[in-house]
Amino acid sequence: MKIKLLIILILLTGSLIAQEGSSVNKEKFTVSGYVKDAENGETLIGANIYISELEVGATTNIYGFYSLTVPSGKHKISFSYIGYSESVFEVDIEDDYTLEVELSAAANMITEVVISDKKLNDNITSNEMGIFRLDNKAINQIPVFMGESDLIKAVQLMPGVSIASEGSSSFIVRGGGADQNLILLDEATVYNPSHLMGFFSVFNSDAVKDVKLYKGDIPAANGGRLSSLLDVRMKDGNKKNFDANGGVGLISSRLTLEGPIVKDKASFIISGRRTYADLFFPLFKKRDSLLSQTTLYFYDLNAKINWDISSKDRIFLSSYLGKDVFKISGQDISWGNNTETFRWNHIYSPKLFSNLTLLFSDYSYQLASNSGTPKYEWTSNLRDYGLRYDFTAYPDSKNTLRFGITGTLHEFKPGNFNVTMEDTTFDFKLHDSKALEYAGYVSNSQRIAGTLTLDYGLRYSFFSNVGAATVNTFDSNYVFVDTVRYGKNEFYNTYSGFEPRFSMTWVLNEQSSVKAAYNRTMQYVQLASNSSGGSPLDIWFPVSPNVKPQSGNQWNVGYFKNFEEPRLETSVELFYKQMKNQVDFKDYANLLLNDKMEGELRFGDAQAYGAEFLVRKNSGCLTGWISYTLSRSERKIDGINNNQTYLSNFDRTHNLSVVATYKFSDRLSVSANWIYISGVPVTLPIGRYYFGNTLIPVYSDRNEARLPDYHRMDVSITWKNKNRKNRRFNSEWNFSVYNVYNRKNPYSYYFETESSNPQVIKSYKMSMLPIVPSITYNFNF
Amino acid sequence: MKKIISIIIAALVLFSVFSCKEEFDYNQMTSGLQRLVVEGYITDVDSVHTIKLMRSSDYIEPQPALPANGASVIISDGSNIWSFAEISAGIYQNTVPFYGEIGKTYELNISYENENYTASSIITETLSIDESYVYYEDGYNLIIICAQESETPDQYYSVKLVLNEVMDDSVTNLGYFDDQLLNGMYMDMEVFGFFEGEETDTVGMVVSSISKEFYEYCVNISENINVEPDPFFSTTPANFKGNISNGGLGFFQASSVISVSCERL
Repeated sequence: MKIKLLIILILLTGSLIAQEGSSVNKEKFTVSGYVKDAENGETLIGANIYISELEVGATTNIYGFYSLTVPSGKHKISFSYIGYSESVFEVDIEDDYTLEVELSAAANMITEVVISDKKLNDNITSNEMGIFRLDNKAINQIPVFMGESDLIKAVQLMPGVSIASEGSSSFIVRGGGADQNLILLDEATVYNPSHLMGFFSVFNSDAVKDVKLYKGDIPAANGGRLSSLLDVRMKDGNKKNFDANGGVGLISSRLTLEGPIVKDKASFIISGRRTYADLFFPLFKKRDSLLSQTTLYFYDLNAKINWDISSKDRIFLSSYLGKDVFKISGQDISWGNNTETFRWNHIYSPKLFSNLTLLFSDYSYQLASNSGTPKYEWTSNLRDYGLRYDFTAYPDSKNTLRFGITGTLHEFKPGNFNVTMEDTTFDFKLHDSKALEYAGYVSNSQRIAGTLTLDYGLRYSFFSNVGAATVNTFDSNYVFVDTVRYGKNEFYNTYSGFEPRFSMTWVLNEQSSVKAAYNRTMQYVQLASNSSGGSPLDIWFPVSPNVKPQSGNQWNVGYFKNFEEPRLETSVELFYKQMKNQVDFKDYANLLLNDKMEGELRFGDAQAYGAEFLVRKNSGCLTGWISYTLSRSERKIDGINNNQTYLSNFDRTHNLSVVATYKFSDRLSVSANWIYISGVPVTLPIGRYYFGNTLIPVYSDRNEARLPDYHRMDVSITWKNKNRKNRRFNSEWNFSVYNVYNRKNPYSYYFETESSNPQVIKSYKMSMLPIVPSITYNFNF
Repeated sequence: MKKIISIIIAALVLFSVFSCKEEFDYNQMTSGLQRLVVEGYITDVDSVHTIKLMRSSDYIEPQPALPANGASVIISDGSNIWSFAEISAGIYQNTVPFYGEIGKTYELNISYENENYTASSIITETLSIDESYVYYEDGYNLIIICAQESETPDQYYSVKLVLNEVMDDSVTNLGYFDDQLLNGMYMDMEVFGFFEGEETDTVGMVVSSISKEFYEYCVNISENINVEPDPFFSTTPANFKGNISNGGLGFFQASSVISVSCERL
């Protein structure tokens, strides 16, 4: 299998070189450069460059760079980007040519596209499937929870994606676990995307430029997770003018400042948020004295600077820092992420673009009690130091070759627990560990004739556990046997694997195409959590001599069709995903502060399959989408459910999202979304018995029942204040209602024996968020 | 330490200020499930041992334990066989007195409604308790014991409270500990923590050696039933794993036991 793929790759690369050879009769030159927004100098991702008489084109990469090789002579080159006026340049190409283009936002365009900034038929022709892209504008239109627009909440409305649990910032993609999603913020891994137990995500949408979710076709450049890649890109900062925008809400406020440091050369953006919900807690003094003593807030800060050192070199420095603080009756709990990215774009030649990235990511939490007895302090963190070097080569107008290397050093400090009782101290430390994850990849995107595009690539990844380390050994029944010590910097265990990626698009006509993709992915780091919603006390643990890496194979096919009147994008995608070495936990596993946690793990295989349907309307007064997913996700884990197959916690049979925005006028728009998801699979009691006078439930097979179906509607109204001429100050009011019809969606059932009569069982539904209205005032100048 | 972790979790879960609890009528998916339930103990002191046999019933139906009548019950140690007779509904006791010995494996055989069920258990040694005290403060009693734990590693113990000559049998009130941190040590420690009571109470307890499996069975039950779930840490429920074959529920445990009455300080 692996050899076959290699042969195919070599053959294809061979054909690429052959093509180059056959067309030497007319000299060819390369046009390259950046495409930017004329208003603020932000580079445009995915802008289209096209020469119609040659029928060749290119799109800008994630840094806004393009390269197109064409025969010498006069050519009309058009640059377009949705929502922007097209620019056409007539160029006489006698040599390699640098063409930097600034596009202006189209004023009062009838077909104003607000949901996505893609070329109109891009969804048909681009060789991408199982992806969904949103920009800042689209995210801001989705009704907000407590005044904070949130890109993860928007992602959760995409086909094939579902919320992990009520209010949570975790999400489930195509039946995979929440820890199988790789979340990148300017290329740095974000390990926990949640604020306030998940009611808010860590992404401040004011600082976000572009979000892309890859569900079925993860590029070879990325790996390490089985299910998806959520690629979040921060704004670079306005290079032309100073700009400020912000919002004041009921429980939070935010402010973003951006502007040039050196006009057209260097710029900065800084964006901050702080919640102050806890200021209102004292109002609950009468009703709930505990609540009145509670402190609860989060803040986060995004900052970025970029500098065009020369026409060939650009550097970026981006930083994210976020923290949650929760204090209640003498207990202090705080957690947060910190990511830092340094990037250097260098253009070696018009045909070779490179990017060097240095990364740092940290997720940590601390719990402490400083009053009363016992006093304790518990700290945990996970840190990544990474480097990646990526190249994009444009050998001719038909091929785009990508290759690179990446390496990350992970440092796991799962727990250090210190307890002080009257006069004794007790120190408990879980074993720290280190690991090196590294990979190399090469992929080519090749256009064969006008209608067929192929993308094929290979990634080879390694993961090495590095000493100093103490490793527990277990027998085949997961019983602890012994510990083994490894010396400092000793590579004591290495796993590796091939990860081929393949996708193809066959354009049937201007309005329709068929796509197919195959993906193999490996995952070496996972989360120890037996709830699907996630908590701040996340424990990420690496593969080890006891834990083998997870691997996944995914096959997708899809049919994409666009309609003219009304202009609609539609698609149907089918997927089948096979996952090996999936991790589950033995019944009543002890995962917190357990130094023999690996003995609580159980392993097996999983599979997920389904169909996703999407209808999306991007233009006109009414915009939005309807997505429906029918799917199944099941697992078979050794030692769980009597080794029988069971529905995974991530199974959601039906998942329907309706997202709509209606623009009544330039000043008034109304948005609403409605979601309906099949109930989460649960294990429920079906019998009772008594043992030692205690009533004990007899449970059904694992996940044999379901909670009631989840549904909810949110609505939001945006009212823009009058925009006076010659004034830069704009403002708007946003009124939002989360869970409009106050549906109580249970996250769990709870059974309790009645204290007065222990034979009687009382049943309860536990639910979280009722109707939550909010109001926010947003401004920019 | 577990206790501290649970305090921490409780604090976190105070986010449930956002959560709402609402009573509802639970419709069980399947009904009519009836499985044999065993609650059987033999010890190294009693001459009368009791094997209680019951049937499981519908979860939501408010009814007491249903006895399993007419079963044939025998216990063997490899060379001897003792048969048990039903002395009252579902209560089976040995007809000939005997007592268990440390180090021996006892096998329980039950034949009930044309089905056979077996379980086996080995007796390990229990604590040797020198002294035990009860101490009273503001409406609460506290038990302290001075005892020697044996050199054998991986031992597990249960402690049942005997308050005014009545033994508390419920699994959730059972005390239990293992010797991971105290193997072979001389212990001077409290066993239950403070529990409500009077200064005039007579307090005693029964300490039994138990198997790791029975220890986990009891710990999992008491930590997981009647515990309000939260969306962050709740585990997937599963049947508590007993040691009865053929789908039987409950447990058969052979123990070495020591009963003490505590001296009031």
